[in-house]
Amino acid sequence: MVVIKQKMIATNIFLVLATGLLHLLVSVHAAALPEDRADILYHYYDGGGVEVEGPTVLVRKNFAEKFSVYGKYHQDSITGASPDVLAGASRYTEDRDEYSIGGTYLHDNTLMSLSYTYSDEPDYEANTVGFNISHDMFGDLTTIGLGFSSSWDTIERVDAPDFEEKLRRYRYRVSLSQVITKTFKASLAYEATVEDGFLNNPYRFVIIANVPQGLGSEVYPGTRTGQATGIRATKYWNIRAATSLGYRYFRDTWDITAHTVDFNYSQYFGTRWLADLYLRYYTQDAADFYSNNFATAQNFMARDKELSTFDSYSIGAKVSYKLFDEYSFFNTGTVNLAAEYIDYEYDDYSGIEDFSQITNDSYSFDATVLQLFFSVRY
Amino acid sequence: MKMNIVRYIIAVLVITQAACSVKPIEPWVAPYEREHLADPIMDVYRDTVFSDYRQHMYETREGSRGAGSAQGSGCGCN
Repeated sequence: MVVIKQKMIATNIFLVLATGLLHLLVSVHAAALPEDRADILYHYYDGGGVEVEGPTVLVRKNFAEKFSVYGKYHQDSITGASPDVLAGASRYTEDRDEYSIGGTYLHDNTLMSLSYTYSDEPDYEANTVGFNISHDMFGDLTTIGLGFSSSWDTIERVDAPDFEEKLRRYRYRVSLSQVITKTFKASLAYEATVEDGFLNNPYRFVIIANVPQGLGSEVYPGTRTGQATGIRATKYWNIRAATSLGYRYFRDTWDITAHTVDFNYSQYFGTRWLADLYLRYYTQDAADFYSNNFATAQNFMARDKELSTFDSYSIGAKVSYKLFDEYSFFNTGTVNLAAEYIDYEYDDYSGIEDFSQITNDSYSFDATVLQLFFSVRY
Repeated sequence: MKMNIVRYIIAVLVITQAACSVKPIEPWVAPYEREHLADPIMDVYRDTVFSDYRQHMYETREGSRGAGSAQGSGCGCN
């Protein structure tokens, strides 16, 4: 009932703002459609006993100077499993395929976008429809945006053919971007996520009084509402460089509080090279029904490490090299290589690889992420 | 229900009127002064295939989400 009321309030606020925004369509300066481009990317992740790799392909094209359409395919080929999953199931390989299509319509200073994404893996299917609208105002120095997406997911278990659960998710987003000076801009974004349905991971389990329970023994509430607020400041420096500093605060009805700080430095070298350095720090407090080892059974119980108290640090670099300018019908072509190192340090979660080996040692792991991609603009 | 519709219409009218009554503001950064603002390096999400993947990678391993660059779907988390 509470969730339905929250969804109604959020939907009403969104409708009022969206309709008000549509009434603001006035002819001044035109906003810009996204640029025509095509990307092909290979990604690789290795950390915590899991390897994920696969390709991403994106093609975007404008036509009639008013429309932009895109198609995207992404694949995660996953090998292995994280420690808590591994304790109750064997290592395995599976693929997740994600297909997205979308379009953007430009009307004077307003961009309206509609997108659909379908994601499929052996035990999880997700459909998402998204709508976004943004409007440039005050001499194009201010951009306001509204976004809404709705997802309906089906969760299954590879080892239990009769297992099937549903999850609905609604995301509401408001954003404001402001030019401050000739070299400085800032943005503010707020996003609420309302979830209703099966929120557990069906392969997780809990430990009660040192005794591991069976797979799927976690019990989560059937609803969750999270609110995130992010700010970002970006500055251009007259050495052909830019810096960007972002902060995000998150809070939800499961009592998880999270802070994220990220910093990005971009620098041109000569006419062909562009390098990026990025740093990120993340910290969160555990959900109020999380425990590494419950003393007694409770109404709600979680031992998923994503709901525990932990910190994460990451450092990465990306190098882009311009391959050509004006070649055939292409404007530019670049090759890009990015590498990132991530460290996860858990406060109240102990790794477990076997039901007979329960320890209270805090778990931690490192991850390495590589991305190689080619981009052409046309 | 009727009250909700009335409130909704009033809210839309108030927002529209407030916006229309604002006098045009002279931009303090002229269009010809926006060369640096338009530089691709001023957008940390300029390569969406790259930044969307990073966002999905973080979201599947953390307990929070939202107010970032992308809207993903699926799990792919294990």
